[in-house]
Amino acid sequence: MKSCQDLEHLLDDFVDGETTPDERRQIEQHLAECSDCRGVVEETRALLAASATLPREIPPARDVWPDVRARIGRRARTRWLALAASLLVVALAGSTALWLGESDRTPAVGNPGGSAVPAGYDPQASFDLEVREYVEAAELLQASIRERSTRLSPETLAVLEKNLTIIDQAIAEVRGVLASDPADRGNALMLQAMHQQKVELLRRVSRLSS
Amino acid sequence: MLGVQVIAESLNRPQSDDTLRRARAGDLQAFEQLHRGLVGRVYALCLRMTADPARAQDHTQETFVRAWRALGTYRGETGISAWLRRIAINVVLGDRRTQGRRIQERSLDGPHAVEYPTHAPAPGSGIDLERAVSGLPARAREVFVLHDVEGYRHEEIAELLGVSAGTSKSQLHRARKLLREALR
Repeated sequence: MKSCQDLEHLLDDFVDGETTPDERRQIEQHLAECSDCRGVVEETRALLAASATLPREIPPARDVWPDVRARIGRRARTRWLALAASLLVVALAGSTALWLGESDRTPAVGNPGGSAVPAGYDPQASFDLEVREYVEAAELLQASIRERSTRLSPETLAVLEKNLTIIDQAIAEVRGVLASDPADRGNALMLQAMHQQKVELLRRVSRLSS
Repeated sequence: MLGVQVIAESLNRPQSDDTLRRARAGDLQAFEQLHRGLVGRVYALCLRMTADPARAQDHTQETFVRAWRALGTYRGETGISAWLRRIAINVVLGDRRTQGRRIQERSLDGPHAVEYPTHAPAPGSGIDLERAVSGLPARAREVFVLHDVEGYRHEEIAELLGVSAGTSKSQLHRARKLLREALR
């Protein structure tokens, strides 16, 4: 029969149920005759039982969210700005011609001409209204495209879907940043630009299906 | 142990799925909600692995910052809690590697033994065990926490620590022996 020293390291495997059948048989034979090793096995099992009762959660002494928020806020801005910039480049490369002359079918939003600001102008209310108009326009266009989707190739629909996912993700990111910093005008303008890009994309696809 | 945890996480899934989806889309409020729900779980792991409350808070913060950055790559193969804990383990071990020899191993009952909140919902012996674990030598403590508390297998621990499975077993043996003696 093997000695206590020979089996010492195997007792952990035995308790964890990781021994081979042969090892298990040897240990059981040893335990039948060795009270010291039986004591080790019992204490180890008690230790594992106690470990299982340890709390799964321990609250930190201080709230770490403000620090996390401060750090990821900077990252979030960097991430969506990069994404927004790439979207803008893609959109400008292919859409200028389509965009011209189509204002009759586009919601009258934005202030592209840079005209004088009227008296009583409320930037926040104006911004909210413009974004809402873009959202409504996008919904109308999407409904229209859905109705006539059979006229579009699967490839076109796939490209549309992919681009909408990217834009929607960018919009959600900017909204997240805006929610925590509503006063940031840069974020607000970027959100507006992204909604505009979305409407523009939908208009282009809508023309293909008409 | 791990099975119970998986069941518990799956029970919470319907609500957290929507929060997770919004957080992945960049919604900071949803990410904060996620953080609030899981910060205690991440901190418990960091605290037990480091036995240092201040360092554990730093690691918890770093874990959530990295999680935010990598959230787009999360595909849901594991629960979000398990995914976060994996990040936390990498943060803790990465920091320990850079700390190298500066980490002083604490003696059982030493002056640095961590004080655990007395409102922890564990039986009385739980506090003694927490204190004893915090007094283990660093490597033995890490392996004990990963294997006996978090439910990782030796092969996984070996990969995480960059050691052999045999070394992991040896450190677990050392940890259990010291804990049995400390808790007698």
